[in-house]
Amino acid sequence: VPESERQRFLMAVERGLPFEELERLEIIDELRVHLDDSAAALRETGIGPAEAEKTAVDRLGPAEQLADQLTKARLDRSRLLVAAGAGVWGLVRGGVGGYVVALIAAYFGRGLVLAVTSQLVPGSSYFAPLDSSSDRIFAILTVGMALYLAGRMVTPAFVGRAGFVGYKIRLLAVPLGAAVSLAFAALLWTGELNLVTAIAVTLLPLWWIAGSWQTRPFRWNRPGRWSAAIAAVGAVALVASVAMGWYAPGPVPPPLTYEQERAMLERSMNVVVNPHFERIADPTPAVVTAEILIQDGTGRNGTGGAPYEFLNVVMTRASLAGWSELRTEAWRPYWDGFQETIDPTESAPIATGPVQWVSGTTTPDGYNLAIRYSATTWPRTPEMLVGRVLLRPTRQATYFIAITGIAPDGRRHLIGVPELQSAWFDGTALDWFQSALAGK
Amino acid sequence: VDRSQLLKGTTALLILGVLKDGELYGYEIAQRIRERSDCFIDPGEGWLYPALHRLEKQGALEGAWRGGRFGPQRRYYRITQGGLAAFNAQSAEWNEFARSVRLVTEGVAGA
Repeated sequence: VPESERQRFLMAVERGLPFEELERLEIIDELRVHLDDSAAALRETGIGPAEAEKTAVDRLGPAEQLADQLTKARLDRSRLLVAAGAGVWGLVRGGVGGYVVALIAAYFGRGLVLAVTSQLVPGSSYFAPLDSSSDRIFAILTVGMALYLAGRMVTPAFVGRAGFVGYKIRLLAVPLGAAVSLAFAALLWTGELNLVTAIAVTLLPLWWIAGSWQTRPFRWNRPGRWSAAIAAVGAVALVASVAMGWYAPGPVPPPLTYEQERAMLERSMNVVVNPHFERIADPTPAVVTAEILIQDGTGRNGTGGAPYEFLNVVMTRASLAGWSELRTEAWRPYWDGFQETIDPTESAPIATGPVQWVSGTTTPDGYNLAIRYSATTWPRTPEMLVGRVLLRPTRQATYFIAITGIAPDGRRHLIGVPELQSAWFDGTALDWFQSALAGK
Repeated sequence: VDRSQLLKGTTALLILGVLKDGELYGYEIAQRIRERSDCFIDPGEGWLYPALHRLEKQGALEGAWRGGRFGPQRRYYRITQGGLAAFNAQSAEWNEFARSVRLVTEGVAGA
């Protein structure tokens, strides 16, 4: 019992010493020799061994208090500078090294997910089973793991050099890093997001908190036989899943039969195509239609980053003399079983935006439509009526984009033909939640 | 009287006082203080090592591990020139303080 009590005491002191291992062990060795000397001296006075060792321990006082006083005694200013350097180095080492490790882990983890889904989900393929917003989860997890490892290295590195008690370092490192990673996650990380990935981005600071909460240096313990076996099986499964994905990418949908193709063709020939644009506004007056050369929808999916959807109508400005209140409108579509039409339950556009006149043949988001003129003889100076509307749906969706205006007859008319545009969210997590709250 | 309160502020002086006569290890330092004070100063030993480490940080002491032929390795402490100077200064100040306290308590000043 006395031996274990002495050991418990020394272990408790060691736990309270926020130094690196070598320094801790030196302090503990000194205390151990002291306890031996003290107990030996007490035994010489006739005290029993157990009582002697207990008394020797008691004379050193509470272990936590001793550890705290030793910590304070060994603290000086130069240690703080060394600690700051060690902390920064730990941050870089953990962040960069962690990111590399996380990239490898995410690659194989993604391979496992894709291999499984390509085999189990009908019609999916190893090479494109997820939409781009969902696929982003692996990049987010990679950053999360890097944040965890950076945090895991920072606090122990600082604690080991500075001799601060752990909780004081946590008070600084945890909230500071969490605030920085939250700002990064909510305001700086932009990309295609959906519900799951928006939440995953927002929760990135938790990775940091979990890592930086640790005050003890990471110590690699040789795994036991079972742990090693499980890890080996897991590694083989990950590698095999990637290989399986490449060599068996999943069932490919069978091509349509002649009868199926024929049935679709006949159906399209027999159906009167009416997307019900009259639900938006009156048709484009013939006099205006005659002045339109060409139109083109561009935007988010075309430029890979612009959050706007554009409708560019090449026409003459003079043809809209007397028109007013020109605007861009986005309308929800409705799948009627054959084609997209204007949703009959909608009475107003989901979003509206401005229009502007642009000279030349290049759209505001960078498309040069000149190539479309080359095949057409059009003896007028081209101008472009550009409609622009900001769409940030919380998941991938399609919208009809239209330009409308009040014609001289006092009624709102379409200018050009509404175009069906695919849009998905691209922005920060904060933007995503704003869109979700706005019901987009 | 709580002796630990009286001892506050004198730990460095006590340690430097016993080490100026030669190097000692931690347990010996505590024993030497106890013996020289006729067991009057016999506090717990929890204060000793923080004080030793602080003095070492300040440069007043130098510590080194050394093993006896038959005994375990021990960390011996030796006073430095700076430590000796600090001891002389603190000692003089303590004597002056003790004299002042005595003057007050014995009423010798007669003021």
